[in-house]
Amino acid sequence: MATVVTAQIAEEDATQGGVLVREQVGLWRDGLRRLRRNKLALAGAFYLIFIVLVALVAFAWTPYKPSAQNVCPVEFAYADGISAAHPFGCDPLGRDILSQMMQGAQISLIVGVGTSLIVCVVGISVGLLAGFSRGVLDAVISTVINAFYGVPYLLLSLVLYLVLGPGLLTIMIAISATSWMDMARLVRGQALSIREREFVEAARASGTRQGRILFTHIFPNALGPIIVQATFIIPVAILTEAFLSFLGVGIRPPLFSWGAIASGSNTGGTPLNLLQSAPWIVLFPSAALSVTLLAFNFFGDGLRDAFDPRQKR
Amino acid sequence: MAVDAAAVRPGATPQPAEPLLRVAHVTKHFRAGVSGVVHAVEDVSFDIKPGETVGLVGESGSGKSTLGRVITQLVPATSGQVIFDGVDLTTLRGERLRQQRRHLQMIFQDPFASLDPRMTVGDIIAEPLVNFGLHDHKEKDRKVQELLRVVGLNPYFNNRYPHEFSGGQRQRIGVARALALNPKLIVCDEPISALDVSIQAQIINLLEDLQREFNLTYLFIAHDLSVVRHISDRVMVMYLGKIVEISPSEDLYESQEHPYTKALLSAIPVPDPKIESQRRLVELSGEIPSPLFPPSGCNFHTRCPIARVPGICADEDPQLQEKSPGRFAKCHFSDEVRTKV
Repeated sequence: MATVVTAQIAEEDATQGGVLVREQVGLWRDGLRRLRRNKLALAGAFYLIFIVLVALVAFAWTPYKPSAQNVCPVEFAYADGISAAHPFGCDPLGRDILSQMMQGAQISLIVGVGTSLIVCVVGISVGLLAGFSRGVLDAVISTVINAFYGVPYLLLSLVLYLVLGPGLLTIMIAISATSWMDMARLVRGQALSIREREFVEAARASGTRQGRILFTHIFPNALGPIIVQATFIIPVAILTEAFLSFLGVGIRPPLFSWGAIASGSNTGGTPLNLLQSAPWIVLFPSAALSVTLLAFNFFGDGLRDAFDPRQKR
Repeated sequence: MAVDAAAVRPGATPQPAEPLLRVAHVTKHFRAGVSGVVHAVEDVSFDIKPGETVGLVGESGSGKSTLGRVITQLVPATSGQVIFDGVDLTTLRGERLRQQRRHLQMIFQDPFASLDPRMTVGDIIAEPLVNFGLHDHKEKDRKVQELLRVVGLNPYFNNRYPHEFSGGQRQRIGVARALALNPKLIVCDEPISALDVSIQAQIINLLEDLQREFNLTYLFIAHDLSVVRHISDRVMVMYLGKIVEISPSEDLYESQEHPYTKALLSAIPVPDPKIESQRRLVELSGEIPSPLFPPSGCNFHTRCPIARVPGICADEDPQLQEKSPGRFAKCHFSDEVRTKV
């Protein structure tokens, strides 16, 4: 008990004879390591990288101009459909489906990521404000959040469509307006629980200002769940966009989105008779949509598992 | 560091009469549910002189940690005064309170919970410095490395993360953070109870060394009298929100003025098996009562071996009185503690 051990401890880590500056092995790297071991998440990530590349390429080059008509003979498009020149076939107006779908990848990613960003900005700000201030402000914000859950998203989308007119931004606003609440709730809960943790108390005891506590302690510690939630919003937004476009209140020509292509709304046909006469017009965009959603979900699941501190593999 | 400490605080100036910390009639009630009130701290008063180490012991739920948090103003007092360095902290808010925190730091119980897992050790230790205006990176690094050296850690650990350290090392980081501002008083809230016994001794010794080097004053909270004995000049024993005995620590282990203190001491095993087998244990019956419904009169009467129930002990709450010079106890029958318990 009486021995002074102060000096010994310094040597504990085999640092004699030199400066030991070890590289940082942070929690992020730890999470990435676990993510890499998750095969499904990895497959999802690779597929998403592929889609991103396709979308980027589509800015510079598509096999044909997506809205150019009669790039293949009209009668040929219906009779034989798929050919080497048009691997995903053509629509009744003689437009190339593959070119349209490459543009559709752009639209899906822009809507997905854009919506997720809007949701993050709104949800995180509102959630932090509610969770950190508590009291009356928290009660008011929570009530507003609950009220928004009551808004039917299809109705809101239609109203915004009428008010703002068709367009990418309208769709992103409509989807954000109906999906920011989950993020806000998550962040509020995180803020409420993290602000009671002992390291926040320690920060207060050492004279840390409120704002600094919020941004250097509470927000970074909530980041893991926030990223996971943001990842899960992307497929929801993509699906909602496809659905709205399918209904004809989303993306309109000359832009093409997967939902719009599959609906045949650009062709004058209905999905049902398209499915009989030219199934590729419905099937290829739907398949692309499904696989992309799946990839995002696998990747999101992987992220969630990787950042779950209870899971040490 | 040592130079800084001497410059900031004229430790040599003799003002023994003036307490560094005066806690006067502090009460802390927490609301529980609709109408319940937890009487966590009940009318507590004491002084701490500069350079002194005062131990505060009591079992779980006795309110000792709450008292520590009230003193550091992490939770506001329900009533009473916390006069630190001549200023009543309970009247301060916002920036003025923040400025006082510079001189009043805290070491926390759980070294795994009290360090932000997303910050490097360097950032954690530098945070108090940044809070009070040190922004120069080189100077910050120099200070952090000096503090790491002072607490016996490798100064080049500064860009590692807390999860890379053991419990004892983490507690040293917590100590370094508390030292960063050259505080006058450090409230140590059970700084060693989460550590292995072998590591406990290291941290205790570190705290003692630092006290000598930087002329620190400690309020040392623990639930273990044997640990407190080692480090404290005076010991306060707390039971159910009230201080039941204050005594110089060497006297306290010789004789006790309050039956609860006697029971606590008797719970410490003696390393000699012969003495251990022959010594008389004071066993308390039952659990500590709920602070939601503290007993009437002396709140210890439900477990006290010499209580007069029914009688004065159940009816009248005794005051904390000076029974002999420097020794205070809150008991109607402290004369009997020596003989009858």
